[in-house]
Amino acid sequence: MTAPVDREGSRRAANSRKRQSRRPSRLGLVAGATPKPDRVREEDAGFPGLLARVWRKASAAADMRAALDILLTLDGHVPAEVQEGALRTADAAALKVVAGLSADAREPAGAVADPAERTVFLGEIGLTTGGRVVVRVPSQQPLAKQHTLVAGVLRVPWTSRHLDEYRREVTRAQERLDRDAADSRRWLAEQGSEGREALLAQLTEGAQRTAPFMLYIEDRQYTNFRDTNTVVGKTLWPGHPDCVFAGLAGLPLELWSDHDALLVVGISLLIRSAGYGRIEEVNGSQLTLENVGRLLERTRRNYNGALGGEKIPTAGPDAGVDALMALATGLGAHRPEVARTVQLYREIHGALIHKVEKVAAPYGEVAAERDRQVTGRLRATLPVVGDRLAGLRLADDAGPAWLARPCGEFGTGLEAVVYEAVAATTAAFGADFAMSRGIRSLPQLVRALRAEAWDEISAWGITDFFCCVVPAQEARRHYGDSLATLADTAWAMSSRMQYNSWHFIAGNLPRTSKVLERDHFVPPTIPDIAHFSDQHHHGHVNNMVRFTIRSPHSVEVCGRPFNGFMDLRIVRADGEPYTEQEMLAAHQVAAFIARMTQQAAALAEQGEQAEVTAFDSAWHWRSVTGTPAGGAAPEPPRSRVA
Amino acid sequence: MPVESNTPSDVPSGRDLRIATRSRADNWTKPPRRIETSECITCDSCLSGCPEQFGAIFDRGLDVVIVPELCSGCPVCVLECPVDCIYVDADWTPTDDAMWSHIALTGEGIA
Repeated sequence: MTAPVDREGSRRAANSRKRQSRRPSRLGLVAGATPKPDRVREEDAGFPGLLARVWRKASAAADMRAALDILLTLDGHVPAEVQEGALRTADAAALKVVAGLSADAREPAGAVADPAERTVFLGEIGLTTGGRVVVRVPSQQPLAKQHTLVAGVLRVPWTSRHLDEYRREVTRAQERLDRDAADSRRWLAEQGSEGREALLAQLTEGAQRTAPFMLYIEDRQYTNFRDTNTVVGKTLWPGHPDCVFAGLAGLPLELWSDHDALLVVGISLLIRSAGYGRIEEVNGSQLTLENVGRLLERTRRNYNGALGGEKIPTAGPDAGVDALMALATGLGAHRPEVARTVQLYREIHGALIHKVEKVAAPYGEVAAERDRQVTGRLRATLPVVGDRLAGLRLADDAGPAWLARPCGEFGTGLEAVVYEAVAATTAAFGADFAMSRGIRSLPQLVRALRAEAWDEISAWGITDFFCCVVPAQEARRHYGDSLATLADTAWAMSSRMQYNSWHFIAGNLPRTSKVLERDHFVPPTIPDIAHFSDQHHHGHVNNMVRFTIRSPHSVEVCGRPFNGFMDLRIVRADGEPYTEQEMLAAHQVAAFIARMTQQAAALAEQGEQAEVTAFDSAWHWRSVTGTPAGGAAPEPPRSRVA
Repeated sequence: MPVESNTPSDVPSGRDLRIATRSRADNWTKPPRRIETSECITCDSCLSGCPEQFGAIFDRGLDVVIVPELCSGCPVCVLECPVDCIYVDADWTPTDDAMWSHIALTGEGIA
């Protein structure tokens, strides 16, 4: 399949169109001919700027504990327990004795020492450019010699009592780490060389097929994200010598470091408990058995609460690898039942790309109110009946065939459904943008599936997918009060979402060699709410994607389920994060679009031309600016922030 | 001696030489291109489109980057970019050692 615009004409015509810029404000101009960007990225945009602000605020805090709270939460951008979980063994012991900080509820933390006591050691607290809190403990070099710091250090006076307590704490913590490393080695030895190779292959695929991760074991960072990559991903291809998994392949276990053993066992536990997606729930933290055990136990309680009883037994305190593997296996086995019983979702803390799996409360009044608003608009604009989103369906006199027929300005009813649902969402959710993505030609997909043309589907490009983005007109205030910039921003989001559809579809296909070669992610199956997503990904930083809801849904085509086939996303550039109730309502809007897409797929299987040809660059220009595409811009694009 | 031009189909397999010498081909008359990170959406369309004989585009952490020494200035990536964020880079700066170490692994018979 080629892009719908290409299907309408010759290859020459398609190439001619490609020579034209697709940026809405540059429609009619030659691509690549504009001498300068509309804006230049500021050096401290996103995460570096956040860290600099956090450090300044912490440095000005009234006392050390207040400063630490600012650092651990990155000034309210992440839960403190994520950063607490990122502390090295010695650092955690130090902060327990000098600041009364403890991640372990079973052991109450000690009180802060009397400042009148004599200082016997002057320690330090710093913030690395990776966003991690680090501590200078006795016998260590100054932090500036160990790490790349955001700025300076906070000085921390230690007393003799601190030293005594620290010695006990760090010894105990180190013994636990050593014990866990030895247990991990024992378990890995039991797997045999073939078993370990299989684990490494699984970890490699997990890193390739999920969103980036960023884990620590003591000072060592394992990441395929923004810093120097050490794990396979977009930067390091499979087999790259810089990838830790590739480096371990073929090595006898005796030559693995303790960190390597903990890494492989830790990630294996996470994958066993929920698939690759669980790895991101340790992002920004130490991948110790203690932390993984804490995560699995919290998940166990959630799952048992959802299932109503102790269906999944605990691994017990200070569990070893065998007990944790049993717990992880139990969680993985029960997760499908949990997902059918309650609404699982992920809360994402974008600053540290940390995710938390949660169980949503029942549909409440806030969700119902959003539901009523969207339902009301859809009943006014589409031939649908029903009191609530969950029951909304095509009216009997319209029938499913309406989805494939022209509807007003739209080529098909399906296009009208997508647009109206997205526009209603923007209004009802106080959003700056809402959007929904999908595949342009269901008939082409049906043909390819019937031919089992997996390689062909893998070869389709991003323009074979669409995303309809509808901004609120008031959102222009974030973009220099320029409708042209707002249109460019909407199109940038649309293009990225086309990529996401492209990126997920291969994850639903049989694992042929071409499919495996093709860059893709495992498609998402549960919704998420993201806080402060505007820290890392350039598109998020530059387009101010701060608070979001994402609701993916599966659609079955020719009997094959396609997870993440479509989704609905809602974005706010500022203000308040979205709530769980809003996520539940958004999930119902997305489910409505998915049901309509499912019906359109059925039509396509019957030979109807249920396609989506709208929502290209020119459409976004017209819909945002209200002026014809390729004409004079209402005003030139401007920098993003007014 | 084979002659290289800016047309992809005419270019012999001189990429390894460019990697070894860390320099652009002498007969490339067009300046390289660069990706503006403030406008890029990291869709990798340019990377997928870059002709194999150039292999000039790489993912690097959060960035998608064009290695100027490997970029002939041909327009293929520009045609693929949905947001038109690729610009002529007449004032390009040499690629750093760490990146060259990474690039070297993609040479003939290595990757």
